[in-house]
Amino acid sequence: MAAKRPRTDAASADTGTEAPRVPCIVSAGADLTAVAMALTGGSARAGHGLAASTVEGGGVSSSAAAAGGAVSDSGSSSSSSAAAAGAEHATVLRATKPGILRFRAPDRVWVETTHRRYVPAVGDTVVGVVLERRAEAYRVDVGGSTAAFLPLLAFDGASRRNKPDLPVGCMVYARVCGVDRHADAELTCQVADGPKRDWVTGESVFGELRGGTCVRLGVAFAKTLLGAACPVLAALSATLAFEIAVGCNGRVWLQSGTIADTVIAANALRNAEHMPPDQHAPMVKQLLRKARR
Amino acid sequence: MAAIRAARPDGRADDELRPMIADLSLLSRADGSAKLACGETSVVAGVFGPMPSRSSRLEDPTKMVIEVTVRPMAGQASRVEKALERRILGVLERAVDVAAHPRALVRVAVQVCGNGGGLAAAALNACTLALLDAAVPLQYCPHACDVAVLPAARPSEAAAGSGAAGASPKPSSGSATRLVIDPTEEEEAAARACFSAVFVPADAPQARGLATSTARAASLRIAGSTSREEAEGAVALAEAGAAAAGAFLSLAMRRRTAQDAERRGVVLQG
Repeated sequence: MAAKRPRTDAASADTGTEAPRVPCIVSAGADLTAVAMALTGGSARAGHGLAASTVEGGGVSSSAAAAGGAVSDSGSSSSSSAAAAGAEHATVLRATKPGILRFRAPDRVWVETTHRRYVPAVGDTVVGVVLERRAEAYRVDVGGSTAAFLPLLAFDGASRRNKPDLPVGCMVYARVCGVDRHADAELTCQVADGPKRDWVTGESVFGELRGGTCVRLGVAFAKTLLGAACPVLAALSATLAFEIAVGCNGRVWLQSGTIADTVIAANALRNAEHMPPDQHAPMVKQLLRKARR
Repeated sequence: MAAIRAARPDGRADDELRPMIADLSLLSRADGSAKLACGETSVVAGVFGPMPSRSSRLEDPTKMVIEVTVRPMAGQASRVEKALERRILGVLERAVDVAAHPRALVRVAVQVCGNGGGLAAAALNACTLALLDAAVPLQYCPHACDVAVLPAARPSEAAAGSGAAGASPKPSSGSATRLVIDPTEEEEAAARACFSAVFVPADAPQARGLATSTARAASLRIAGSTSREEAEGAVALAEAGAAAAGAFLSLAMRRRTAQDAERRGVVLQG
């Protein structure tokens, strides 16, 4: 006989005992334990927008919320407690945000939300603004729940005598390399893999961004700009020449030869956020035609 | 029993809510915002966060701090607004998953744009909708509803058309007082007692309050004098109203999510 199953929310239409079909819409607070177990076959890792809590016989539960994208050890405890037969406590997986439930084999389940506030995740590239310079690191605003810190020596080819001096208020393009719920996120301007260019040359991928303009977009849309097939960037690059740094925190830095070109590119991105992908190319064409390019 | 059931001024039944209109993401600078209109009552709620808190006074190393501000339509915030702020804070502190972002701050700003009765319920429902729009992690969604206890008018008085403000019900009138849901401003002024209740799902974690079969009253405010049977009846009626309001909020969010999915080209199958 199965372990004590948690009481499911009768009003929610997301709990099904058959194989659920994803992607599907879920509401915040919905009990997704049955859905997640059916999808993953018993072991579910709680990703972004889900929280796992253990309910011991219906008593007070201690919830261990999972940060966006990071592996949580509550996920492994949920699998072990679900597998243990006759266990006294059952794990309840709830959606904490409204959105679209997604599943990636073998055991990643998460809720995709369209929001503007960034939640730091390891591996993301972000565009931040330097707030202050401390003894060992810069404090950078990335628009998340806490500020992030960028160590002074986290640049390719930097040593104690030879390191960049970022002024307060400048924009910087960096990579998130460490995330902790209780501490600030850690950034670095060193490339993870690929060719390393010294910061002195000015050709490194990460580092200070001079000039240009910064566009604020939604977090989910900024991530699609990094995808392989991005219609708006392809349409823009057919006519304009521009430099772009996409931050997964919803900030995109643009620079082009003339101010007019930069403005066209920024407007194209702002419009593209609210359009389906097949309308991006005609929209860019209309913008360029109006600017007589 | 009274032969004539006095109709409400706007033609609703006693257990009928006013039609609600919800607007999402209307503020460009807020992380999430919602405007909720029920008849003449309209409230705009904006949510900022979770963001780094500016002062150490507002920073808690174990959980997120929530700050609620309620502003009236005109004039300065008074006792009434402060009391509503405390009520909303008490409900949201348990509804929001505060352990998810320690040391962060969430600011909820509520602006009253029109007061036609049922303001506390509209304010709390708008806060819930704005938190959903901002994707602040929530353990459950609280829903609110207001109920007023109207003294029954005798048929002759009903024909005269005047509300019996403050008049005690005559024993010879037969039927007891009326419980009306989602009262308008005139009904609230004429009522003997007003109930404002917030409900959360019964199996929600960390929820406290009076428990019924499917929901808990996490916050209940009674203004006026009432009897125990009336209170129980009012809470039951408010629970039904809150469930209906919750269904509407959930429908609004699902529709918005479906529109976003269609815009991004995600094909939904559930």
